[in-house]
Amino acid sequence: MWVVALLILVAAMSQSAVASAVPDWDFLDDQVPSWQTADDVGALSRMPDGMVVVPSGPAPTLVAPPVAFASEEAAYVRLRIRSPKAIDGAYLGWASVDPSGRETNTGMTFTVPRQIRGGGFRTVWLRVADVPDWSGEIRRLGLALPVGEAGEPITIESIGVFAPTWWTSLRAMWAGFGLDAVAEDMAIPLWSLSTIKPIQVDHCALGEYASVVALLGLLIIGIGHWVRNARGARCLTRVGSGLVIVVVVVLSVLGVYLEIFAWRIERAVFGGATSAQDYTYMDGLDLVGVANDLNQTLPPGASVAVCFFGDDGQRHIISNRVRYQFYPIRVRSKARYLLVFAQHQEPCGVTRDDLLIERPLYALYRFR
Amino acid sequence: MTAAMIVLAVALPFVLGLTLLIGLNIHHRAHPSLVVGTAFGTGVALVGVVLAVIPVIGLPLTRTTGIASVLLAWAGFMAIVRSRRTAGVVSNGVVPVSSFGWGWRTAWWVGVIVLGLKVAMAAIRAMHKPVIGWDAMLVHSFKAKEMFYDQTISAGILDWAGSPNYPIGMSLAELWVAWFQGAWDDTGFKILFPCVLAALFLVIYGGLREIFGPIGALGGTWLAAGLPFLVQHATDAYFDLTLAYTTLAASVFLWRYARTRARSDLLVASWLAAFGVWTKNEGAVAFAVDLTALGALLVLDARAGKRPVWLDLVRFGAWPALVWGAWEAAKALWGIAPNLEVEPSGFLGHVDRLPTVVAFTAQELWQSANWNVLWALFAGGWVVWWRRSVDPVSLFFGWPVVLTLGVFVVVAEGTKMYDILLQGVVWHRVVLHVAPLAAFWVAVMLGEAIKKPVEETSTG
Repeated sequence: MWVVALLILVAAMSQSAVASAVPDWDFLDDQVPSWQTADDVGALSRMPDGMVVVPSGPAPTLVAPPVAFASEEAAYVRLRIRSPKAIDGAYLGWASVDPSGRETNTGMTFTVPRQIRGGGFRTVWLRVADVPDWSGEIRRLGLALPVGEAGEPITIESIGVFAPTWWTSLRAMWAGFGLDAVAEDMAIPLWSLSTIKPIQVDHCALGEYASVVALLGLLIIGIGHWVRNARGARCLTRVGSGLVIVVVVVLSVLGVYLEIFAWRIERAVFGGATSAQDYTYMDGLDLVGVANDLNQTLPPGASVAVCFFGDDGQRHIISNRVRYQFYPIRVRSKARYLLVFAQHQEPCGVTRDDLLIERPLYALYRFR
Repeated sequence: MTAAMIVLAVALPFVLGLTLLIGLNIHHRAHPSLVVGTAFGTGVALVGVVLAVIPVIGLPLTRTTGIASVLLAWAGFMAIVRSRRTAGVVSNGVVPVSSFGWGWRTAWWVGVIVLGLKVAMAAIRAMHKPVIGWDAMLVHSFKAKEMFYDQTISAGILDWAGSPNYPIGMSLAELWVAWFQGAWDDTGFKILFPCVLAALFLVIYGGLREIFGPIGALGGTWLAAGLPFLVQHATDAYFDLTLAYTTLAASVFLWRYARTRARSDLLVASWLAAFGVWTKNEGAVAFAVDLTALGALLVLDARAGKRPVWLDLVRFGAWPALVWGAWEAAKALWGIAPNLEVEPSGFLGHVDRLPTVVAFTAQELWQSANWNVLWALFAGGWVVWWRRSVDPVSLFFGWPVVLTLGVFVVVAEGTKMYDILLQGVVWHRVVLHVAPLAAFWVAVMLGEAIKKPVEETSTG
């Protein structure tokens, strides 16, 4: 009798687990259990700002407490995490069981961006619903953080599984804009400049192609004026107009996208501070020295800006005088834009002295 | 509180400008968007011009004298404009949004909302970073900062800031914003530039709306709004966008004048052209080109058997000439030399530079990724619609683009501007001055090809 009751209870619990809300671990709450260590974790502790993982090897791995929920109830996994450096190849794994009882272990890789200056957490949204093996019932979750070598602790504030609602989609999409990005996220180490070219889409070329199409559209309209058949003339005018309208719309949308991109970068660089007193402008980034190499490497017309974060905490923004682009942040397109960040005392391939010819600060910022 | 004061600093000139336009009865004769877009420039021009007069009459340039003088001048101008008011009713033939089906209405609203977001984003970008542009930082805003602290305008200030011969109309407007903030702020005055962007879009929309329906006008506005470089300039403190705005708005009102022959339209065009002269040296070129176009219109009138009002050339030229003359006199008094020596021998002696200059121009127009398809449409438009080359729309929008670029090609060929051209710091900004004109011309031509104007715009 007891055995039957127990079996019913287990079945009910299992059923309710499947039907229950998807799991959410808020490690700021002491009542929420920690994940368990699996590999390369020296210590796992709870601190006021979350669950702290101290790596003891190249790939610290954690396993979630047992879960059971239907995969279709969840579309996103969100991490709030703080890592001293970016982690490429981080891995969220899961075990799923299909209706026939077959278990599959799979997962997806992603990148954990480095922490926001001052130790701020980053939010990472992972869309798991698009992974084919996110199916059936999800029974286990795991997280691997391949830091490369044992280093500073990583803090996880929360890990949540989110239902496929429009609100969640909107939040994930908003996060996709990367507005919490910091300068270093967009930093391109000087030694890897040569890797940029293959991954860029040349907006300039796009504009030229679009110009040709727009011109063709106009000429079709012009030809329409010469056609004596009224119906044919009308038809040609519509085709030509259609081409022009489509091109203008596409480029306008692209223009809006570039605005968002520019906003994102400027926000990262300037951090919302509006007082020019916070900044020290220096004239004369001598790209003749550094970047005779750079200029040969970059696409023609690329703008280069260098942002130094000095020991004094001030940001030194140096514009590219060689190309006379006085906008450190001149985002016209991803293709023609390059922002080089170098953090003082961090290896960046060249030294500060290699990059700069310092001159006296502009009197503009003198104190009265 | 500071934010509120910054908003007040741009709202007050807007209100003053709006009342001046209302005094001219423009609000009954033009599309509301055009009135609102022009009001901001009219008011800022009032501030820029009046503040320059204060030190001349021996008063310190302070917040008290500044605001009082602007209000006093506004009262005087109201008396003038009321004598120039033109009776008339609102332009008819403008199709209201509500007459469209829900699909078009939705498209219109989406277009307008995204346009608004674009301006808002430009404002956010402008206000969350310091001034970065070279001239913006070291010349224009530096002069404003010095005037803020020294409470005067002097040759010393202009000279010390560098490029003393640059006009200071917008620097004075920056000073105005700083007064409202109560302290100098290296970023606060940048609120002016997103406002200029918004005003530019409103002028384009309002100007086109007088001959097209809402969708056509909005499409034409997006032709300009999609230009990356135009929006980029709203986020820093160069004056090129302001000049582009005054140039376009002056042309829109000259174009209106061609249809209405109303002196009020001519007066607004004159006032905006004057502020263009007071904004940048290139404003004098824009004014000269507009004067030429107006002269051509009157010649065409004479050929058509109408009686041309030649005095209207004087009426249009009065304000720009006054501002230009006063500034030239001040520079002569202070011993400020021009930054470009223009001599005939220079042009003849450097003909070999011409291919390079033309190549640079073509490169900027076609390969810079600054202008999307604008110049392809503009160039193709002249081929397709060459028969309309003497229409008023071509006189005030098409030809000024060609003439202005032509002037700068010649200047670049014959002066030290050639070196600056080679450095790549100037040509994109010169093109910016005329890009809205080109967009407007293309929008009118293309729009009329796609769809006949809804109705003829009424005259006031």
